[in-house]
Amino acid sequence: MANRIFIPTCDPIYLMKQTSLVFAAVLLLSLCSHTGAATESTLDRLIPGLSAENPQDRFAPQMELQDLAAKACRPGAESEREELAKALATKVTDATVRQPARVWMVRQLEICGGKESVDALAQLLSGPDRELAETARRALEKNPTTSAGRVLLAALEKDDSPDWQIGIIHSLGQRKEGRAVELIAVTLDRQEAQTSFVAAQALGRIATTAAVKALWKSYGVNQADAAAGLLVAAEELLSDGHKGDAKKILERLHRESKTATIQSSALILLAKADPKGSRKLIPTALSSAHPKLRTAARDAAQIAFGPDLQSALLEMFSKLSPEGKIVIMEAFDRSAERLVIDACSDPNESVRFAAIETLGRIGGESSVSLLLDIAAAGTPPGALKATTALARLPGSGTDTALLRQVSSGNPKVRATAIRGLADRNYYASLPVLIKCAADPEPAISSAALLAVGKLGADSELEELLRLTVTRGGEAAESALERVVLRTTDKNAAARKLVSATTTAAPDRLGVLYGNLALLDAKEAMDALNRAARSNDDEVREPAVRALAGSPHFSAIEPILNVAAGSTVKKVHNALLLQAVARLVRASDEVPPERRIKASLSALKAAQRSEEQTLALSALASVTDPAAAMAIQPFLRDPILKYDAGLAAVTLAERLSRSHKASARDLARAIKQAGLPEDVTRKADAILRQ
Amino acid sequence: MKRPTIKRRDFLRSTLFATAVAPFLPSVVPPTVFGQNAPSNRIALGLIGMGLMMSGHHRGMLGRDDVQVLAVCDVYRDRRERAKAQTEQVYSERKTRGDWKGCEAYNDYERIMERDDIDAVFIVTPDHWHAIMSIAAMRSGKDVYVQKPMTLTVREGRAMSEAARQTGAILQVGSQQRSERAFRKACEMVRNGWIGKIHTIYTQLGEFPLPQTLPEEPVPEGFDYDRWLGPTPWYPYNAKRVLGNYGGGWRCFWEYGSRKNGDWGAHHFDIIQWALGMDHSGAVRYFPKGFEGAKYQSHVYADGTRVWKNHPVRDGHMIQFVGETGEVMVSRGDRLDTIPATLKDRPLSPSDIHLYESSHHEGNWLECIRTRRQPICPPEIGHRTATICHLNGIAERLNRPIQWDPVKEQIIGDEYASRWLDRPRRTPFVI
Repeated sequence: MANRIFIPTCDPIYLMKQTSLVFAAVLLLSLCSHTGAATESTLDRLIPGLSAENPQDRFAPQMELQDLAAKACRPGAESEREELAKALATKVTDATVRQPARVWMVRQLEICGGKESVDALAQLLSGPDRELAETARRALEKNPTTSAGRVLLAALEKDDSPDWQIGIIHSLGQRKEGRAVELIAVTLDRQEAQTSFVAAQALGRIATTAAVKALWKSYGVNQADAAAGLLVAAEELLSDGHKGDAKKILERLHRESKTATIQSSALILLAKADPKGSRKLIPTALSSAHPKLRTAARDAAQIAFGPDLQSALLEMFSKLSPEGKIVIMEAFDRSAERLVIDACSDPNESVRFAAIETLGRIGGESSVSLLLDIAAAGTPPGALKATTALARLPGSGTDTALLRQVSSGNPKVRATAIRGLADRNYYASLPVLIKCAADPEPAISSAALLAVGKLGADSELEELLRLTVTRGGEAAESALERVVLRTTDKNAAARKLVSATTTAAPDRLGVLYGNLALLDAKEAMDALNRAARSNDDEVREPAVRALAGSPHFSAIEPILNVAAGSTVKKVHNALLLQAVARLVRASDEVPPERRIKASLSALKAAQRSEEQTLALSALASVTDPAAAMAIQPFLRDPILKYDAGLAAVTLAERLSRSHKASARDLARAIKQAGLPEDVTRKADAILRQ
Repeated sequence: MKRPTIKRRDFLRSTLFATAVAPFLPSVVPPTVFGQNAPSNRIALGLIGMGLMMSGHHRGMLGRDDVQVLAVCDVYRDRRERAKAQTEQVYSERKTRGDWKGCEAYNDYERIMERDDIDAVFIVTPDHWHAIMSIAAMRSGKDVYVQKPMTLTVREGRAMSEAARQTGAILQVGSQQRSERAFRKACEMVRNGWIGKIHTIYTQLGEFPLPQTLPEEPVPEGFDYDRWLGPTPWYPYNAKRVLGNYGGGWRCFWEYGSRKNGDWGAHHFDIIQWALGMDHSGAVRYFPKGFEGAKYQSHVYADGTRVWKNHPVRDGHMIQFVGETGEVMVSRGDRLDTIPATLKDRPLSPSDIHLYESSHHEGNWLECIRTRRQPICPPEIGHRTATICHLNGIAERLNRPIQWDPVKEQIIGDEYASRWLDRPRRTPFVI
């Protein structure tokens, strides 16, 4: 450098280049100063609002400033951020600016402040306004510069009021200020419990040799706080890669602490710091009397043994206490199946139960036979646990192993295997299950019928029908109903049911027609229509009752056909028209005109006034202007006018929420019908609305 | 090594372990077998925060034979006294029998932490107290049920999760939708790939009114406002600030939560995490409303799955999962719909993924206190869900996208946004 001599030149190109550079620099400076001025003027504009007398008026400028700060500290806008932080730093120390505005601006420095704001924050920290000072402390805590730490340290030296010190000590800890150890250590054994706790935590965060030493020194006096601080220090050291230092702390803590919480924390961290060294501590901890220590030991084992976990756990299993065995079974994987099967015979009942449940998670084909025996024995609670385990048992060969057990052997075991297949939703077992449904052994056939009812569909229908027709029984009927509902080809199912009616004994016809009525299919309804008009009482009676119980609107047509027949019995007419009323009310998804038509047909077909009233009330359940029109003629009927009036009031009330004009027209018609006062009063109320 | 002294609650647990089945105990062993409901074996509870949300928990606990409430705590004198009186009325028979000695009412939660005869606590305060109280409870040897969202900041969540792991505490986060059948079933359908690969998720969180800068009002007699504010910045008292209702109150203010992100978000984002199998991870990018013209706020997972907040959801549902071959819609009240419609009735087979099953969120927690198994919503899961809430909040407040590394738990390439991962606390409520 010393040998270089600057020689002016007259080269025009060189001069031009230099001039441009100077010009650019001047432009940049002026731009910066302009930006700075603009920022300052924005703040000047916002400050009156930020300190407005009415706090509610402060909100909009507060949000504007907050957005400004958020935007200024976006990536790649460092000069903009610095400019804003500088301007804010100037304003927060300006005594002419009112306090609420200054507090809000300091809060923005917490978000965007850097070195340019430290002096201003220092001034506020030592100032008389406690709120400003506290806000400044928080901003300094977040400020990444070393000078911010120095300011906080100086503040700790100056002020010893406990509440204030707690904040400063905490901030120094958060910042990991190594320089603060000596001062913080003094407060470790303070009488104010919170100060000593915060000091221990702060020293733990700082985690230098001196900080750890101070914590150990305090350990003899204030063990709880110091131990908590030492755990924090160990965590910090671990995350910084100083495993050896962390290990020393943790070994001693684990050895000397008498608290289960500290011991368990130390053990878990030790497993991270020294996986191999911590292994020897795990068996003892697993057999501890403290449940938390046992849980921690299991978690520590997962860390300490890593990929060797399973072999390590298998090796230590037999040496553990029953409690220890139970805890580590939760960490077992598939490789432990053999050992867990053996544990199902452990002398300790709790271990046995835990083993059964563990098999449900990790077991496979080899566990099937044992679990079936336990479940079939039926001794609670083991049987229930084994049943649950069978339903969940993973492993590809499990289903086929269960299926093998269905074919022969102890009936209880076979029935249990059948239930297991159903619980596992093993559809491939259906051919076997449907065969078992015909088994002479009642335990097996009822288990199989339950299973077929759960899993079966179209393919099982025919055989199930045969069983129902030939053997009957509640289990078969229940299975048939569930399978009929699940069939996909409803017309084909209807044909099978109809065909079964041709050979079935009369006492089975009720079940068959009942199932036909469950099918929402044309062929089913046609068949019911025919049967319900049969001259044979033994056919007609169950068919009419089945039709009346149908849950489908598609049954309306055959129902009305039968109900309107000239030879229909009065009781059948009543049953069928009650069904019409029910279906009209419940079928919101059906177009209004079809529901209205059905109600009017029912009204016409009714042989008793009770069913006429029901039909009118069904008509009133159709919230549509067309229903209002349809009901009006009955208001003039000398016999039906009162019931029609009541139904019309209900309908008008419903319509008033969606079709006001129609509701008004209907209410007027009710008023004009010359009905009793209780009805017209309601119509008046609707008109007033 | 000298054998440690066993406290009452440890005795309670070790006795149970020695005599009963560890996992799934209450499901199969009648309480009478082990005298679980005997006075000395009841789980002793402390309840903190006796406001609106606690009323259900309080009633629920008072109706159970296997627990007993020993203390209540609230910064409102009237509330805590009322809760104490209610507890004493319900337990009057136990008191006469000598099974129960009475319920204490405290202003300061620390009094509950100091009591060795209390096994577990409910923490049902505003969000800004959740982490401080939960960590104190776990460090004092207690198990914890904490309302959602688990935390106020991302860093608090990591600390809580670590504390639970180290202390062996059973902590349940109150994201109770996990204990509802329809939500579990929806998640199982998604997890088992029944609607193909998920690419889009819509969820409805609603909106709170904007927070306000409120005029100062006199602090009501018997209300410890300074403690209510706790670690958050000081503001003059106004009843609207501290109100615990759903239309406004403290839930509107960023100081005490993440607004709707942490309110309904803590429920629905939680279910989305569960369904996607992301319980130990999270989304990687967060976009504010308006970014590149977007009409709705969103976040995106590493595989490209995008979650839209407040986008209309089919049939008024709360969450809608859209996959390549179908859709799953789910809401509270056991509402579950699928496209194709038959999916929702399809049973799981053993080879399918079965998710953790709980039918009662509080009951699951109490069961796990006895068995020492992990509850359905442990702190690591609660932390990951809350992280999504908070990062959405940060993106919204900074009005710029945030990129997140869920492994290192760091915001990528935005130094100043990273400052929002934790909030400095007001003295003396710093820890």
